[in-house]
Amino acid sequence: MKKVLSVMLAMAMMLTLFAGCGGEKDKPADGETKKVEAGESKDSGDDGEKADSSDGGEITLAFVGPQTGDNAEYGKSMKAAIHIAIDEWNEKGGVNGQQIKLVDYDDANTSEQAASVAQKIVGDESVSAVIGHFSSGVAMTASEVYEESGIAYISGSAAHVDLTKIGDCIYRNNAVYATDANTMLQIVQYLGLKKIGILNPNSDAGVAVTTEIQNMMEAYGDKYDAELVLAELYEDGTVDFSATVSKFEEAGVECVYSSGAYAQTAPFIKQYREKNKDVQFIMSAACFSQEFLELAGADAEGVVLGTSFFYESSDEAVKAFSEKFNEVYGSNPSTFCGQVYDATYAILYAIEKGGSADRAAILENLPSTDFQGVTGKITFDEEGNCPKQQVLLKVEGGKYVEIPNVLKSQTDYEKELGVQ
Amino acid sequence: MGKLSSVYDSFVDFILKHKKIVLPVFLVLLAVVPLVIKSQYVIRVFCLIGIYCILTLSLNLIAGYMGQSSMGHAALYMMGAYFSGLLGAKLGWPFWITLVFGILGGALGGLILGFATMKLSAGYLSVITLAFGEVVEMVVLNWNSVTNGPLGVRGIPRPNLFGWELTPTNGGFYWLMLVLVIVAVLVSMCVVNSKFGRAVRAIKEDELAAKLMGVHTAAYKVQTIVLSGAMAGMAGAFYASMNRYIDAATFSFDISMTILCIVIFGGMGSIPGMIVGSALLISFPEVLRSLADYRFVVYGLLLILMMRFRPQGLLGGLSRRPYKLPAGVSRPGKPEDGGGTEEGKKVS
Amino acid sequence: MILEQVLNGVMLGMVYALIAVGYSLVFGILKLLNMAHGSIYAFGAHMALFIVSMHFGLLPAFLFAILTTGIISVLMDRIILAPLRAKNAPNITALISVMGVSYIIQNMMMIIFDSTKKTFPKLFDFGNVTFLGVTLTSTQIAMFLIALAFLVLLTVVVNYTKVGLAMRASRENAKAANMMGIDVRRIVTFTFFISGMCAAVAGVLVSGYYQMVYSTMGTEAGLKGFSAAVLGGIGVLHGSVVGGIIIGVAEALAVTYLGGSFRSATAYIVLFIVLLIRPSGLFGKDNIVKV
Repeated sequence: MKKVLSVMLAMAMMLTLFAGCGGEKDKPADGETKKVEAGESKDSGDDGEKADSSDGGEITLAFVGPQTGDNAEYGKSMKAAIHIAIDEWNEKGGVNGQQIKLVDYDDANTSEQAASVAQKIVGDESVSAVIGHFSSGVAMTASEVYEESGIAYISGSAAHVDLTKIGDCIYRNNAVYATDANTMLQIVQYLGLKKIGILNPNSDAGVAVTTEIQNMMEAYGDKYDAELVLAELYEDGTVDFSATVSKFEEAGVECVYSSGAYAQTAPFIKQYREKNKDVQFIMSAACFSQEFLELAGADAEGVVLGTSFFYESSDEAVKAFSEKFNEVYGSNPSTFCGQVYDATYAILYAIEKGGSADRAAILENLPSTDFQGVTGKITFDEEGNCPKQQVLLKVEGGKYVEIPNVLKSQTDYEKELGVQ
Repeated sequence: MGKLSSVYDSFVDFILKHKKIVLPVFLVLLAVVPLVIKSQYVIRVFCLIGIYCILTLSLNLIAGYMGQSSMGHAALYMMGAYFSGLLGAKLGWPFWITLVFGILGGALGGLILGFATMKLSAGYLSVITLAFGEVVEMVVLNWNSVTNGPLGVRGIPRPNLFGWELTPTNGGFYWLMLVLVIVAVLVSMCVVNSKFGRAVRAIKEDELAAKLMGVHTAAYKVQTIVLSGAMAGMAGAFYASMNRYIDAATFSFDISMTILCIVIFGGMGSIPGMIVGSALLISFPEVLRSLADYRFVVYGLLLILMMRFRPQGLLGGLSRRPYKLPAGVSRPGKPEDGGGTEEGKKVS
Repeated sequence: MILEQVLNGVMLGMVYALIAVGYSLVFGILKLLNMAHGSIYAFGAHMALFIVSMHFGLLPAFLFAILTTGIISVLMDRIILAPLRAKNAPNITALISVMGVSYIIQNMMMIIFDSTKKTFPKLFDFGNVTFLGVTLTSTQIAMFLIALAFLVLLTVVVNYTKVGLAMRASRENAKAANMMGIDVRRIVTFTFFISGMCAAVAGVLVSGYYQMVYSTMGTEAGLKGFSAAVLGGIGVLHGSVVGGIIIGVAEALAVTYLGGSFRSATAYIVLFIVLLIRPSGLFGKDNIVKV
């Protein structure tokens, strides 16, 4: 009996803790908001503050991403991109006369924390929509919460096949795996290579892209003249690729495609280059970043990749965004940054159209989104995916250079190839 | 520090003295939490704490009573989540049946671990559990046809109680969590107070002596690990149903370490310690979100200070009542309050 | 193909061996699994990177890394572990404390140096060497030779010097060693310094090998090194080397014949099997419990 009692006692202590915690709950959130506002006003000058005080209403968007832990860099840069988008709107008077502010949360890129944070966000009535979550698995967990409580969520990086199938509230503004797979096939054909090797991470993305490529090549059959020699997977966090390199060499591949993050592909490229100077590397948008160039160094020369966002594009909006991003963050924006930037615009357009920052109103107007963003034309299909048109980039002299008019949309390409 | 801990001790004493009033009140308070607190987020954190209570009580069986540490406890948790989640998502079985299979899944993991470590000396269990964690993760990641590999399992059904669907929103999950935690506590208490528990503690104190006294040490070790696995599996099944999506990355090495840290923080061998430890360390990052970058630094500092000034854990040294002897055995001339025998200190 | 893969594995194994000896050294004397070793290894790499980024060159960076890492390792012992020993606290408290240290070091590095992967200069570049139809890169060979030389040096220090003798004496029986006039406190400090040094050497070599430094580099490498140490028999130096190589080769062969996603698990299965057959590791001495 005494033991039962002591257990209850412990639970009691737990409760008292939470009584305190519950009371304090609003405080840290407030603190975060203030911090963000301070950051905003620093970025946008004084006018933002003035508008705040003159107008009663305020629209709140939430961003969630890893700001601590292993993937903090992605979360931080994506947050900076969203701030730029919001500042641009605030400068021209906000949306429907209301200023916009961003609250940001850290999920450390773990599913467990993402679920708690998502719950926190949906519980905060003032938040109109959510952007963010870096990894697919993390976004999947959080999406269940968003879908259940009916708040719009747009991802700028999670490419899990099933993400947008969770429900009507879940959108994404990044290329789906089929686009990546098709881009890679187009690049191989453009380069006139015949023997393809694939090295993907053993993650949802890696496995899905590999499967897409295999399915596509099967569907194209004889009409596509390159063959897949070797498809390999690697564990997340691998740094030693020597055994993998030997395997590719043995198989005699002419080019290697990898959709992995720069942190893994850069060492792979380096280790491969030490043994073979001629092999062609084809990467995905995940390697379109300043960090990739720095990490891969001279070995990055000649790498080609397809991305839906290129910071040195001739487009005015892209130029302006890149400039601002450089100013704030000190490096060129990555594809993910461009994608969350556009996602922010998509939500704000939806609010403008519906004339209300109501959660339901946003959901109503998101499907009809149609504007020209920095990552191309932004529209959502029935599932909530944004079809992406990619451009071909090549690393030359330590910089990305655009090779225009090579990549087509998947439907155009298939028409040209004579399939379907 | 000494003054602080004496204040703390007298506080605990005070509560223990008035427990007959204090505790039922708090249990009722706990039960009505979802009715009072409307914030889904707080409820969610409570559920997470509940999960960790079960997980730490589970590890406590191995660490607290058997005196061995496990660095791969997330693997047992993962097995429970996957057994339950897969049956629910792929075959559409109701939660209550998949919960049983989740428990069995965890127990199966425990069985494998138990047999693998039966002959090994204590220190190596941590290494083997570490290896076991990696192997389970590999199976989950590569056995695509069954586990969906890295794509994870989606659409895990929610429990349904006579037509009432339990969701985190309507408080159903909170009450389910409360029930499961109470089950875990009761199981732990039964273990401690049984012949089984005494045998296991004898192994911890001196394995060789226990063996010589006729305790079948290997069998007890395996049974303890199986029981521990079953409890971790239960937590996994609950987690899978609450989040509706699971993937291998969720059950990482970090989770194993967190479980171990809470057990040590709360006080090995102390059941209330597990609960208080989970409540503090799980809510800690949530409360300290504003500290952002520094919260793991604080976490580390906390562990170090704990070990330096209160190595028995938060509640490990709590129980100062004498060890309950079987009827007919009298304690050789010890005064009432000096009952802090070695045994009494470690068991609570 | 298979020969090349085995050699790849051996090279990788040397990386693990370098980390494993750090675990072994400390365990030998204190019977403590120094879980902070992985973080200290990453710390060493970052210290070197810090000096390199200030354009002082590689050699000063190397020396600075060794010194600072040795010092932080000693500080950890003096400030955190020594008081625990003085209190005669159970071993697990020390284990948890070093885990705390590990959290602190790793996260402080993440705050100071952020979470991006940073480049580290390549240590050697003199083209590839081909023999018996196997191509090995210069980095691989240099890495192997330096690691081997370092491990031999370490073995000589432990087995053939006065300090080494004192270390071994403290390992066998600290109390008796103390009575024989060995300052066990100083020996422990020395051991921690050497172990920190090992971590720094490993950190710099491995960073140069992969040309990359990042704040969580210690986690994975630490676990593998730890496994290598246990596999070879923790506390035995040459055991660490053999253990490292076995794990490295197992990984390389797993990548070749099973695929990259089976690599770590294969390494751990090998560890599993070895421990089932020889519970104290390959070269570990079976502890005979005296009643």
